[in-house]
Amino acid sequence: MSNHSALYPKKTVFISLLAPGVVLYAVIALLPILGALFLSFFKWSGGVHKTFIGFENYKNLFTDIRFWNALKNNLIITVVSLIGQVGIALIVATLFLSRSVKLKNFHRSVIFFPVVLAAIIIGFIWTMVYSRDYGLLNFILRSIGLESWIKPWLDDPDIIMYSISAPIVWQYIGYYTVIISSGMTAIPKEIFESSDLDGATGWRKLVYIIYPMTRNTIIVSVMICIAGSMKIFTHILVMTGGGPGSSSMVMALYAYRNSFVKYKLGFGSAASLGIMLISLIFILGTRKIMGSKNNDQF
Amino acid sequence: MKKLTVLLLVVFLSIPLFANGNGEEGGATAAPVTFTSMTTYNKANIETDARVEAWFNMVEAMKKDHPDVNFEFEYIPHDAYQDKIQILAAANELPDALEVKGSWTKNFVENERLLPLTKMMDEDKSWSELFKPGVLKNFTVNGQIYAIGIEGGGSTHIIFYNSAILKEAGYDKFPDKFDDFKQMIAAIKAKGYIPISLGDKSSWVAESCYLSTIGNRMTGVEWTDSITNRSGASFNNPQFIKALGVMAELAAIGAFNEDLNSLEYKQQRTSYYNGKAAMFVEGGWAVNSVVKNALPEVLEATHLADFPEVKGQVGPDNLNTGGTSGWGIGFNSSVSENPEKEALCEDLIKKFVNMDTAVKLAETGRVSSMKVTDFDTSKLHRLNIEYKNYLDQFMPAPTYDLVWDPAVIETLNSNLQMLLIGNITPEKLAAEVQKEYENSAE
Repeated sequence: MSNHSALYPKKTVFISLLAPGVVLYAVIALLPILGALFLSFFKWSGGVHKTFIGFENYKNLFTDIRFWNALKNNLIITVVSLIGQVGIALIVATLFLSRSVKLKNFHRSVIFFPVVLAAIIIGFIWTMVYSRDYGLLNFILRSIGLESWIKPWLDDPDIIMYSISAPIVWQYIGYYTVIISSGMTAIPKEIFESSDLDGATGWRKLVYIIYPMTRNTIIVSVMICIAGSMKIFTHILVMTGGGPGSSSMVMALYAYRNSFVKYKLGFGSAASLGIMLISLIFILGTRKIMGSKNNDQF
Repeated sequence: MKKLTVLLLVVFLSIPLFANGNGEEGGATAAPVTFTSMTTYNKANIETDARVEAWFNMVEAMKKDHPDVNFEFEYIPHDAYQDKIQILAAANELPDALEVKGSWTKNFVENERLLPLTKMMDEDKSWSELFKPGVLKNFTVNGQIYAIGIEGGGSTHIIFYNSAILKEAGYDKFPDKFDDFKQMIAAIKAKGYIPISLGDKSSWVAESCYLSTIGNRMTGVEWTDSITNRSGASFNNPQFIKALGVMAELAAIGAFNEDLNSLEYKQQRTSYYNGKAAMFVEGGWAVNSVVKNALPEVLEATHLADFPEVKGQVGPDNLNTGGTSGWGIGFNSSVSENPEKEALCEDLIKKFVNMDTAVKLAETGRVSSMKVTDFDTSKLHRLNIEYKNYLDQFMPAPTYDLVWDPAVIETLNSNLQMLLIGNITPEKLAAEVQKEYENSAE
């Protein structure tokens, strides 16, 4: 009898076990979103007076060119991150499978290391790397005779998004390497052995065996990468604060500056919800394109 | 063993939940008063900064005089402080005492966040009459004063220049016409120096220390006041656009270092300290830093100047921004619910801002918000004296970011960053700011 109840607990047991998690999630995640939704219909500068203005904030948001410019910057980071983070991680994880790579644990730790650092530290470190007079990057360029390549890395609006993407890519390669590696360990050894017999080289192995076999893991990585890129904030706040002008402004920073520098908290809430909506559309869209064959997987 | 670990975890994790609840219940019966404050006064600077010394002396005295009060004095670095206070203000969680920036006052007052101090000042004339007239202007809304600065009357625009480099470039004295100034910049550049070192990453330097002065001279102070009070002036004013044009021209002739948008304001001083830059522009607060940090030969050669006369300017040559307190100590309006706390506020501000601290400020080369006439100048550096003379001769004009709406300032500042790298024209910039100005109108 006791066995039976352990295998098939009553509904009340189910509910009481789920309740703490659901309640915490509701309080921490759902309530603030509802709060922001409520605030987004008001003109509010952070005090006792709120004025109801209906959809005015949304109208202003979607007609503000700076918001779309921020979205464009988010998309640049997303594309660079997809290629840089997931792409490089895929290659690195493949190398880990190879017998010719030595000291795998050491490499894995080193590549994973930046993941554990706080974004704010990464931002500071890379601000120093990019420094014109004292930076590591310009020092290396100078010492190998490439003075002509020296640029004001964080000052030129044409290249700033790429300068900023570099540390973001660098930080998270290790994260995706670990995820994809774990997906790869699930591939049966026999497949590799027979492919070796058939003469498949590294590159072909990646395209015809590893990619199809770890496809679902890669899709998950792509989703996480898109979600991460849409909400990127700290690195940029530290490195440029969105400048020069608004040339490195991203959506989260846009919402932040409107809320806490311009005192437009209602508008900032509307911007936050706009970010959520746009991110959801992108993630669902990607899922539709990439995961159409096996929707049941996740 | 495993069960024990889980049990312990559960117990420890739930402690904060219960502890919190208990604490609040207990608080209703017999809790000591807790008085919180957040400022940018860093104890590490107590030796070099008389304001900090005054603050921590006050802290000690308060703790001694009110042993039953639980004081929490928190330090936050300047730039981070600005962000943090905005967020706390929005959440209505401001500390009891805080540093208030002039331009925040209006919004904070409209949202009933600050305690009016006029009554306190009226009740003690012997104290309140020590202040310089008009020095608390930035904290005054509808005739009520909401914060009190220990400093005030200094200038936010001073050109620090290295006379040795100027000499090398063929200039014995600082030019007083803008055209000569531009030629000098070219000559300095030709010698391989950075003419003006600028760090505008946090985007206020170009506006607060440069444009405010140039703009006020071009448009006259009336225009600035009219923008502040929303009484008709527009940013599309041709004189204001000309002022922006002066900034754009400086950028175009390569007066600044090319990484100007990625250096913090304190970093702009580094290349000056090391003798690599001929000039930098900041407010009076930088004088003591130069005295302390510049190489001896650079300090020896350092002198002060203000911006040269630009053709077509309306205001006089000695019209420079300053003359008021930019930052002051204000109090959370909620302290009025607790008379004991309100009394603490009065005690705090009088222990912090008084004639004794004012004299100390003056003797270390700072500008007090109180009228200090008699003080010992023997310990002052030559540069401090030079700054004092500078202040005696200048005509104060309002600094834009201390008086204008923060939304307008944000748009102006971030567009100035673009102007300084030639990515926006002065006309376009003025139009952008005007648009924001109209949008942010009530």
